[in-house]
Amino acid sequence: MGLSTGNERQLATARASVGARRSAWRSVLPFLAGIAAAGALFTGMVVASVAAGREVIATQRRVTHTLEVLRVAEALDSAISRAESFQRAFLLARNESFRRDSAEQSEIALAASERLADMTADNADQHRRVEQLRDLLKLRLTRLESVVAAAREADHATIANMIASEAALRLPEQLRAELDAVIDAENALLEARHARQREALGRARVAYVGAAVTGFLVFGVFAVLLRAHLTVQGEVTTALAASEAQFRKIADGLPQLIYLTDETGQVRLTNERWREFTGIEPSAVRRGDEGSFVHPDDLAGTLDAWNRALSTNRPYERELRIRRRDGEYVWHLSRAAPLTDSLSGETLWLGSMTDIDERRRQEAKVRESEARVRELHRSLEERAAELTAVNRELEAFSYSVSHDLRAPLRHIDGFATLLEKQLHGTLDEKALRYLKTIREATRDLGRLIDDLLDFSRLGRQSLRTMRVAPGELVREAAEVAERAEPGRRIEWKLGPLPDVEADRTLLRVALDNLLGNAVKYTRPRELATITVDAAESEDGMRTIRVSDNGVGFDMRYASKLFGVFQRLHSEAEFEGTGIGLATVQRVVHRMGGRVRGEGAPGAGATFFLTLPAPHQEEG
Amino acid sequence: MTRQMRRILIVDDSPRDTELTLEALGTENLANDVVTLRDGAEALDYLYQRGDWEDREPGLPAVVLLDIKMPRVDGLEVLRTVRADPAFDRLPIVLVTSSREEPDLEEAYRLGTNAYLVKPVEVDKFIRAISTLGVFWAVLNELPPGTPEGAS
Repeated sequence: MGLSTGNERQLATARASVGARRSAWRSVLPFLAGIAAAGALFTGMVVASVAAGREVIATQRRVTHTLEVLRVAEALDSAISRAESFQRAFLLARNESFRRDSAEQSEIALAASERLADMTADNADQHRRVEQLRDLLKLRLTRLESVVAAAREADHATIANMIASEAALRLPEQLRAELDAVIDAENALLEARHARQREALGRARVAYVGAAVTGFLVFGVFAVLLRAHLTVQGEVTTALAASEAQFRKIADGLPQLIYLTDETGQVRLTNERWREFTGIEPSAVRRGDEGSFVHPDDLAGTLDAWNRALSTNRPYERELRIRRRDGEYVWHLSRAAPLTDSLSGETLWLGSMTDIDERRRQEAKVRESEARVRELHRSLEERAAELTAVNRELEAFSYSVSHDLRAPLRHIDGFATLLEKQLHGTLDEKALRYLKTIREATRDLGRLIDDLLDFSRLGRQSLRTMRVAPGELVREAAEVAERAEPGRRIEWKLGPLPDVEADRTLLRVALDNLLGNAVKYTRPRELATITVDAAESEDGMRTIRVSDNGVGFDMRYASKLFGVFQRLHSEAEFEGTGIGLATVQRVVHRMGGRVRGEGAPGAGATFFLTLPAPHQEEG
Repeated sequence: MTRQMRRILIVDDSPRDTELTLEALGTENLANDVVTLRDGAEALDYLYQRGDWEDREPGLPAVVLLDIKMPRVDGLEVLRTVRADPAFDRLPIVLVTSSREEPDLEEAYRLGTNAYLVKPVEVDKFIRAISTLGVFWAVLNELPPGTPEGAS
């Protein structure tokens, strides 16, 4: 599945129309230079040949001319001879026809000499001779004529005398000599001209051969170079075709939509994927039709960016929605870069569009959840602010409580005591008991208030958790607990304890309460045994176990163990307000832990205190 | 044996507490030279010898038992004022108050109290605490130099 045929044609046209011409020109230039040189040479040869030819013709003409002169000279010669013969014949026979013939020949001779004169007009020497000849001829002919005329009436002796005297003038000899001179000169000229003609012919031959040779040379060189060029062209074309085929394969194999445009942004070709996705034939897309596959909201911005890229030759990048063939718009990231053909200088733009729809949806979701998180955060902050405000109110409340409630209690107790002192002697047992009760009740109330205030304070206190080794705190708490009931026999079994992540103060409070309870509820025992060690715990937590051999408790009421002011023993059995374990639970919860208790009546109690493992590992 | 008895100042808005305090001091025979004041303003008047106390005997008390919550001028305000004054910065002051609130403790020590006592509800303990205080400050403690002795 290659590029569509429409695209192939497009490609061919694209190549041929602009690229080929330009590239052919560029690559043939050296050849043309060579050919021009050879051509100049050839032209030179041809010009030389033409010149030589013309020279041959010129020499030929001159030779012909000379021959013509000779012929005329011959004609003259024979005319003279005939004229003389006819004259002699006439003189002998006195036949009028001979006289006429002689006259005719004389005319011919004269005409010939005139002709000669004309013909030798270009040759000064020859012309002079010919003129002399003509003059002589005229003279001779005149004299001949006069002899002939005289001969009519004269006798033989006179004629003989005339002839003798004519002969004594030696005109014919002179004439002959002159004619010979002319003829000789002309022959000599003929020789020379023949020679020159031969020379000219020789040169012409050379020129023709030379022209032919250079012609063939030019043709040969041209043929060879053309062949070489065509071979290279062929190779280049093959290589091009191969790389184009490779490009097409790659382009079609990619999941992206690939497109190629010219420098005006007009789509030249696309890969198969583009066609598949948009359902549009790239050949159908004209510049300005981008709206057929770009989302209308993205169109203006996209065209703007695209045009800017085209004009500045900078790479183009844009996120936009592309219309799928089913009409849905899908977000794509379109990127294109210019490629300049080094041969043709033409710039094409190669681009790709990658589906980023999923990513954008994810981004949208992320933004949404971020917004929600921010919202949550904001409401959390509000709550925190509310809480802080509430805490402050509670602080103020307990502050006034600690002042306002305690003072009257102190006064009740105080003055009841003073009253007792005052009336000590006068009071009976009942009255004393009443006073005592008043005082005890006051103290109870005071303790309750103190416990409640402590409980409240421990809940509000700021938490400072860190890695704590409980051992020391346990020992301290044990000491305090033991001091509260002096004279007791208590055996402490303190095992190794794991480090925990806790607030030291709160942990101490919890331990105080647990150990204090252990000491309190083992009071009936001769020897109290209290064990504090480590117990098993789940991942991420550590458990401290506090167990005693005291009176224990009924597991049926275990759920009430940690209730505020809840007790599982009466005030008569064991004193207490019932806030101790509630306090333990409160502080433990604040530290992110748990507490639970196990026990059986008369068989002691065990409390499991679970806290988070330290956050940082040692080392 | 002779004991130096020196003046004790009680500054408390509650007459009942004041009475209890006097009773407590009485158990150690320390109630003879006691001045009771109702609030911080009176305390300052006394200390600075002005107002109603213009004509009092000069001299610093051995100790001031100062309550916190009082009308007009409270205990911490007195403490602040007094400690800022070089004349009184060595005057022994014990805050005796119902409050065990940390902010008050913090503020009191920051301002320079010598001691802080939370009034116990049980009067026996209260009496014991006050009398101990009284004995300590009014009898045992060596006063800073320059403090005049009280009447013997």
